[in-house]
Amino acid sequence: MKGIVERYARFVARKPETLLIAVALFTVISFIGMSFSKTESISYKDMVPKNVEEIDAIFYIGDEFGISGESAIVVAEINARYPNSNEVRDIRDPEVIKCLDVIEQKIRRIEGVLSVTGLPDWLRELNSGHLPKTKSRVIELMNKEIVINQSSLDISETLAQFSKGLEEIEEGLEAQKQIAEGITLGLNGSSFALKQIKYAISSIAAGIGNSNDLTEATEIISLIDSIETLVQQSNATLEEKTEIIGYLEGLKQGLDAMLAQAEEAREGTKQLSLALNEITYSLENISSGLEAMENASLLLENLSVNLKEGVSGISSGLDGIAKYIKLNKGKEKGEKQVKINQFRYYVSDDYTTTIIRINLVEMSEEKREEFVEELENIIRETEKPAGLKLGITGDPVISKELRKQVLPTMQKTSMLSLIGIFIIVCLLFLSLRYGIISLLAIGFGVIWVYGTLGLLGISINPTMSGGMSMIMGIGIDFGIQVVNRFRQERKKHNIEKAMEITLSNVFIPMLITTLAALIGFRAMSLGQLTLLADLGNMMSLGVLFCFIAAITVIPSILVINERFK
Amino acid sequence: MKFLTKLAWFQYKYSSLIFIVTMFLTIVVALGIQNIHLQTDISKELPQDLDVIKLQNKISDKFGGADTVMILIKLNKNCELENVPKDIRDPKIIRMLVELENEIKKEPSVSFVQSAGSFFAYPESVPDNIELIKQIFAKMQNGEMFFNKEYSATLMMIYADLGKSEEKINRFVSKIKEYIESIEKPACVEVIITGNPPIRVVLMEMLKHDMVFTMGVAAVIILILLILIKRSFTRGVLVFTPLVFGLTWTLGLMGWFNIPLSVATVGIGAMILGLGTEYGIFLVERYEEEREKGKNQKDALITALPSVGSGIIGSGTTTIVGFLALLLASMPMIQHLGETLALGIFCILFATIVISPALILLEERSIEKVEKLELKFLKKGLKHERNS
Repeated sequence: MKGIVERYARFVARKPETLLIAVALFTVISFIGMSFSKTESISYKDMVPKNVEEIDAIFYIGDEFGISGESAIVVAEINARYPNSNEVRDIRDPEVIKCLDVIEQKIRRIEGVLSVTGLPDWLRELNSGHLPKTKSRVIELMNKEIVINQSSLDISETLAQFSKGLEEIEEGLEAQKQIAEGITLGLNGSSFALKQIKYAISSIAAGIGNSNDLTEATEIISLIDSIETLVQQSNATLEEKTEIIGYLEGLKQGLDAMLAQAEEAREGTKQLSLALNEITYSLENISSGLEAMENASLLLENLSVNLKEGVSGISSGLDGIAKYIKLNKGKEKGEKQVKINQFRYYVSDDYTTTIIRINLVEMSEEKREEFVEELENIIRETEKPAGLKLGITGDPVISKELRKQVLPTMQKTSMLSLIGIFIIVCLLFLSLRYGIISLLAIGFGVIWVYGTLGLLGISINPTMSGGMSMIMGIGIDFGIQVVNRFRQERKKHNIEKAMEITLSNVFIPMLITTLAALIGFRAMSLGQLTLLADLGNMMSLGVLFCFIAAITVIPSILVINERFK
Repeated sequence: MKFLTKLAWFQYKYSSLIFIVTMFLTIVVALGIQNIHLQTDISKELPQDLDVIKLQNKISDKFGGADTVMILIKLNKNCELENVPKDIRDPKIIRMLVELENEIKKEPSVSFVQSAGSFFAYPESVPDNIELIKQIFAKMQNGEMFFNKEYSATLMMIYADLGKSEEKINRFVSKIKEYIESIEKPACVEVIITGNPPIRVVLMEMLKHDMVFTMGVAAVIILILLILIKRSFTRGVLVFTPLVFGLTWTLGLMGWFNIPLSVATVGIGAMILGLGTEYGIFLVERYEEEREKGKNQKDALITALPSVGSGIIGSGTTTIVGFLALLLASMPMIQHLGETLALGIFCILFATIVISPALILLEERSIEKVEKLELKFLKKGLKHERNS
């Protein structure tokens, strides 16, 4: 390695012009490349690390909900300066709203605008498609929304519970069907019981007709009691039961009288027999009537069961409504507040500021800048009420401003850096000439970096704006080391020997320095936070070029300088 | 450079004292490392004096944003399980939202929570039938704003007043995460916390990790490179030592001077190591060159330090000027980077000029001592052999 460096040093000492021609050629190419160099901006997306759940989620939300995606914001602020003037003092002033509406309509016509939302839209929606004409109406509409939300909420919830009631009615109908089946069975039972009564009474009539025995009469009374019990247990209506029991009671009284006036009753026996026959006959009628009545009563019962079920369903629905109302009452007490007020996102609490949100489609940087320019024109040209100040912000607007800062920042920092470095090297060498020579490494290095970036189509972003100044600060070291050592060696040796010693001694340390710097810059990009990765790449290139310039341009110029001394 | 000659003489005479004082100072300065605070608010890295940024900050203050935590609830499209919610308006999900919202509202710093669950007081108030829920949101003014177009995701917005303390933000985000963990989530439903505060918490972790990681990688590679080039472990470490001192002082001073660790300054460890290597290299190379000429320690140092020291000071100062020029940059992140790098280069330059020569001498002397001892033992051994 040392041999190669020494041979190279001798070549530089002998033919510095050849080396300079090669350097000039590369410099010319770099100048051409510089004409292609571009600046670009950075956005929030560029600043945060990728593949992190929390950050991916924010971009997902931006895309899906249009909250934080590519959007610009027009800000309208109350800026009344003079008391008692006719300037607007409240953002809810209809004049302000009208002005915002005009702006919104103009923005909608710009290419790339996905949606525009602001205070006028929400007011129009609540005011049957018209803008409110008075401030009091605006205030009313802005407060109204909460009420609307709550009432619509009541109906929905009530509907939910009512529907639940209807479902229960359906269940009731099913139950009613089952009950109807049970009633039919019961009816059959009643009809059978009546037949038994009829048979028993016929037997009594026959008994009375056939015998005048008093003991038999007593037995008959106990039989009547049994019949009464049977009747009581039957499914007959109360009226019918009363009627039958009335007959039976009459029968019993008759039998009692018969027993008391056994002798006198003999005559009456015939009449009793006749009466019993009539009872039998009327019982037959009652039996058929009873069947018909029972059928009707069953129908009624079915209906009432159905209704009962239905009512219970509705009642549970009402219970639900009651429960809901109860819970809502709780909300009023502060247990739970339902505040759905879209205006909160568009109007500040003190009513001095409102915003128009503009969502944009994905677009190139040039298109975004065109959009911002058009937006600026709209804001400038639209007639505004006195006391209203309009401004724009949001990602595309900030990006444009940042991009505008790139070149001035670069010029400012590079210039300051260059002046500071020049003063230091001149003081260090106590020579203007050597000061300028040592600056050549960074001069050429910076030109080459700029040209290479242009040729490779790499745009310079705001994080790289300070890169040139940093490259100068780092790259000057190479120039200083070479010039310093050459000057020391030149005192003891001729040009060729001095250059040989200089280069062979500074080359390795400079190479290690370059490698170490490259390692540092590369390591910087290895983390997850790679915001300054572009800056690191630019500086890697810069350090490498300054090293090359320090071992080509500076030795050549030093040799030429010595020859012309 | 008379000053450097005097310094070289002093270093030759008091190398041990210099080493002890350096160690003591390093411990004191290093205590500042624990004071380094993290700056995770990326918006603060943008030029604060630009009108558009001022307006943006104003909007964030008035309409929330800075302290807004968002909880994203979305259906997992790749889920293959059966009987899982296919619509984000599923009663189970809405109930979960109500439950979560009611829990989060208990936090004192929370000023306002809004989600699709805000319409229901308790989980039990949510209808069982999804169709009814759909009707409720369809009838409601802006009811659909809580859902995306495909009804596969919904949002919960938590507005809180967290102030500027990173610790408070950290605690708040942990608490919200705990709430999310504690509630019962339907299968195949993802609940992700996001927004400015959670992102800042993630950045905090990343800053700590990246700082150590990038610095570690750079340190290991540079040390290996130095050992290989010097063909000696001790010589490699010797060139590397001022870097360690310089870096420790830089980090300590960042803590003492209240310079934050941010996305802009996270890579400075690696950069300082990369840029600071050259000073040690030039000094050690030159000293060795003089020693190879046959000069003793004192003469070699008195020749090497003034001759190479002026170059090193010159290059270090110019580098510092180059970095300080960044204070004129419009982006605060570049300004912070510039001032921190300037501080780092100054520390390494100081360590190289003041401590490195003392270390070189101490290393040589210790080697000489070891060699002398070895020779002594060897002589003793030979004597012993002859006697026997």
